[in-house]
Parts: sequence; structure tokens; C-alpha cells
Amino acid sequence: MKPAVRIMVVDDEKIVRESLSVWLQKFGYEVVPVEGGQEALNLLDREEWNILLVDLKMPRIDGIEVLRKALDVKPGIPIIIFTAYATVETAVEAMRVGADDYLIKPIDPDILALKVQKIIEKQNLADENIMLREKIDAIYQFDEIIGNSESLQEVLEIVGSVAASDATVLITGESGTGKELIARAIHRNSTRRYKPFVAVSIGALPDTMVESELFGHDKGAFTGASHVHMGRFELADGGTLFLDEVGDMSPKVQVDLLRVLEEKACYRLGGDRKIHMDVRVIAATNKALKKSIEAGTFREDLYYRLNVVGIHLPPLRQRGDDVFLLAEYFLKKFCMKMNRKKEGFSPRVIEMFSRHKWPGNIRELENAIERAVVVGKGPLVQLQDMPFGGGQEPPEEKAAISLREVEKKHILQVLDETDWNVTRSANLLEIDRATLYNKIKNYGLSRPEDRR
Amino acid sequence: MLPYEPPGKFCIVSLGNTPDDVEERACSAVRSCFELNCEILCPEPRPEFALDVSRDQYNSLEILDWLESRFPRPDQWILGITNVDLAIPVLTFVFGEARLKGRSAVISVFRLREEFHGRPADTMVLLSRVEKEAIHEVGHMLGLTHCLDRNCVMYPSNSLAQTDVKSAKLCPGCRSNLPPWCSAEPSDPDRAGV
Repeated sequence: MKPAVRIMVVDDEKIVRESLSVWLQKFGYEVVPVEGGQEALNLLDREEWNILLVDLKMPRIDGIEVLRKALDVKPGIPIIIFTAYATVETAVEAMRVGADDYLIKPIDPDILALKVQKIIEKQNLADENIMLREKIDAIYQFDEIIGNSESLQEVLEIVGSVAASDATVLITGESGTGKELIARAIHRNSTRRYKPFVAVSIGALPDTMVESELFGHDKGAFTGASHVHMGRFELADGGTLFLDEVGDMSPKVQVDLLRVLEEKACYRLGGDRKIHMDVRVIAATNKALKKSIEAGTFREDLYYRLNVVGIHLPPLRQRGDDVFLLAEYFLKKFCMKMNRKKEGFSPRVIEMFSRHKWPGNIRELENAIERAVVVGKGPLVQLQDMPFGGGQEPPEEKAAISLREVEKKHILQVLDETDWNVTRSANLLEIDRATLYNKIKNYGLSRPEDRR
Repeated sequence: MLPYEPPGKFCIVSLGNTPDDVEERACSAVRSCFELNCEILCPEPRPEFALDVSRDQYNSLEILDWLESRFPRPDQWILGITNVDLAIPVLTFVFGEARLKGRSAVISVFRLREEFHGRPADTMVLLSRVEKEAIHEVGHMLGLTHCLDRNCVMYPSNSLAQTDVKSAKLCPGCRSNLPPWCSAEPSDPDRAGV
């Protein structure tokens, strides 16, 4: 049960404070009549109050003084000053010091009831807001990000340190590695967490729509613009804008985006009013932007503007045992969602988890397990439940290939598995680093992100 | 005061002249809403003792004190009805006043009359308002506080619009908060109109 609303009525005239208290008690409030300013301040310090109703003219400590001292002790406590001797000066003074209202005696009962009710409604909303914020805080930690691998822990460390700042972040990583999840984690752990998180996949939008989507348009900006449309930047005001697939932006959009990031303001299409906004941008791409810069398809200045802090998400195949933790997590999630019961994975499935290269990364794993929960029978997920047709890797090319080709493929595979750590690869291949560098050069090998 | 005992006697008394049928209507409303055995006493004089000359209004709390001393039996509950304009020092007016969980209440027909608002007299409207105000104040005597349900008779009315919009009935929530011995069924509107 909610505690009763507590109101203190402070007036030196007994009949006034008592009659008002009796009147307010009929609303179900707990009302305490108090004779003087000092007594009111003592009580204020000792007990919790929702509202103070204070007479302006009292001996020793007057209403304004009570107001001033009360706000020192309990900043923000709602105080209504009332008086039979109203002057413009005292009204201005009361409001300036921080009174919620200034009422003239005798007070219209309807007005007083309404003022008190409004204050209580406001307090209830504020309480509800605090409760909801606590709920949000409890829900959104890093809970959705599963894994113990060193590479992921490094990422989470950066997320933790970058969240508090307003720095622009560029998240890179193969498709399906969880870039949006990391962006959300940054948002949820930042001071912007109660403000909007707006995600927009630029690559998914036709070039002609990108500008309208990002910056909005005014009515009549183009044929069919029948109403004002707020852009994603405006919608994210105060919060975080997640721009996915930034590697696919046209040169024109790149210029516009750069200008918005620099000016922290934009114009809607067809609009002449500059709209200022406070938005933190987190960008993501699965493209090798440096390569795009060399090719002249991505602006270098924009790259540096976005990549204030860079976070690279490792592909699933480089996250060691994380694949098992993730698989368990998804199994539980889908069993709960579909009301199925699965105890775990068969040994062959577990063996397949570490053998498979997961080109689609976590998204592929998630989809595979969703499918297995849908189609599988029995308590364990079997290999035939997985989408790879009996758990076999796609058949290797069987055609005879040269020794040179075999060597090239093998070196590439080792490099990929070590995330292109040349020293570790050289150790595994039992050759020295210089030799490995030469072979990389001779075979024209490149990192996975540069092969796209 | 609580713990409640049902009143030995619930009485309605006019303080000065009141329009016809007002006491009867209040009495039947109290009877049907709360199943209280209600009787009408001989009228008492206008409550001049409570007049605040500077405001030309009558202090409702002083009237409650007077009612309790004029009818001192602790098991006698009393609802005064008056034609004078009631107020408490801090408010511009009150339609009525009751001791919360107490044995005295008073209502005024002064502002319930259509004439007060410059409209032609309407007895039916006046009696309907008297009924609601009487039930509302007796509800306070029985420990009910104001209700958020706009249709409930315990909804606070500080204007006639609020009085006219609400019904003369208690909402189920307020009804369940009545003392156990006050187990009346919801009032019958036809009966209330007697």
C-alpha cells in the first residue's frame, strides 16, 4: 500500500491551521497543523513531507523565511504560500525564492484542491520515473553479451570506458558479430540511457531516401512530402544514433553527415530552419573503410570523425569457447520462447560447433539453434536438426589443385584463425616471420575484411 | 469516534428556515444509502453565533461545535441543514462540513440553489444536490474520505458542476470501506426520489 500523502499546514492562527487541516484530511491526506516557522523547520528535518502549506505573515519566522530554510534542508519540496495580505512584492519574492504557488486567503476550495492534487500527481510521476529508471538499469547491463573469450573481454572493457564519454564510436566487424548489440550496450551504460536509442541501417535505404530519413523533410520538400517528417537525428536528440552500414553511404550523404557531425545541427530537406541537436553517433560497418578510402569511395575526413574510438568485434570463429556459451544461451532463449524442452546438444553437435567456421557469425548460430529447436525432437539437439544438412561443412572443391594452391589456402586458413597474428601463424606453420611475410606478398593474401 | 458504534439515533435539524422538503429529502437519502434510522427534529434558530461579520459568512466549524453541545448525547449523530452561506476562515466557502469519523455535520443550501447563480429556481435540482451533499457529509462521519471516482458521491465537489456530475451513490470501493454494521445495499434511485 502506498504511504499516505503527508501535508504540513503552518499558520500561527489556530482556527486557520486546524480548519484547513480538517478540510484536507477529508481527501485522505495525513495533515499536521503546525503553529510556527521554527516548529515547521524542526519537523521538516525529522520527518518526510509531500507538501508544505505556509502562511506568509507569522511572528518570529515569516513564511518567506520558512520557505527559504525549508528549501535549503529539502531542496525541491513543494511549498504553497498563502496570505490574507497579498502584495505584488511578497508574491514575486515568494515565487523567486521557490514557492510552488502563492494563494490569497480566503482561497477558492476548488483551486486549492487542484493545486494540491497537481503537486501529488507530479510527485507520483517522478516516483514512477525513478522506479522505471531503476528497472531499465536492472535490465540493461551487459547481460545480452555472452562470452568469456579474451577478445570479447577486451571489447567490453573498451565499451565500459567509452560509454561515459560522448565520443563517436566506429564499430567494425564481420556481419553478424553483434555490432548493434555493442552499440546498445554503450548507450545503456552512458548518461544518455534514458533518452532514445535510434538505429538506422543506411545500407538498407535507397540513396534517394537516406537524406530524408536522416535529416527529415518539411512539408512540400518534394512530390509526396505531404507532412513534416522528423529525421533520425532529431528523433535521437539527447540520445544515441546508431548508423549501421556506413560503408555503403553515397559521397553526397557522406558530405552531409560530416557537416552534421561537425555542426551538431542540420536542416530538414526543403526546410530553412537550422535544427540543433545533441546526439551521440555510433557508426558500424562490415567493410574495410581504409580500403574504401584508398579506392576513393569513402571520405577520409569522415572516417576520422567517426573513428574517434574504434571497436573491432572478433568473428565467432576467433572467440574460442564462446560459441558453446552462446549456443547454450540461444537454446534456453528459444526453448522458453517456443515452450520447448531441450536439455542440451549431442556430442556430435558440440564437436561441429568448434569445427564450423561460422561465416555468418552469431546471427548464423542463433538462426541455426532456432531452427534446431523448431524441427528437433527428443531432449538433445542432434546434428540433423542443424541447418547444415547433417552437420557437414560445404564440400571442399575436389578438383585436383596444385601444391602452390594448397599452400596458399593453408597459409590463409592459419592466418584467419589467428586473426592475422603473423608471429603466431609463423609458429604454427613452423616457418620464420620473414618467410611468412614473403609468402603473404607472393600469394597476394589479404585480411578477410579486405577481401570483400 | 472509532471504533464505531452505530448511532443510537441519527437526527436531522434545520438551523433557521430551509426550503420545503429539504430535510425530508436528506433524511430519506441517509436512510436509503446507509440504512441509518433517521429522524427529523424541530428546527433550531439561524446560527447567528457563527457569523463572521467581515465576510457575511458563517463559520461551519463553530456550527459543528454548537451542534455537539446542543445535542450532547454521544450516541446521537446530527446533520444540520441551513440556509446561510458556510465557510472556514481559509476558504471562500464550503458546501458542507463534517467531523471525519465524528458525530456532527452541516450542509448549506445557500449555494446549492439555482437562484444563487442567477438562474430560475428549480426545486428538483436543489433537492438532488441536497441529497448528494447530505450523503457526502454523512459519508465523512462514517470515516470515508474523498474518492477519485467522478461518479461516486464521495468525489470532492467544490463547484456545483462537480456536484451535478456525480451520482448520489457510493462506488463499490467506498461502500466496502463503510463500517461493518453499515451494510446497506446500494441506494435505489426510485426510493431516493421519494
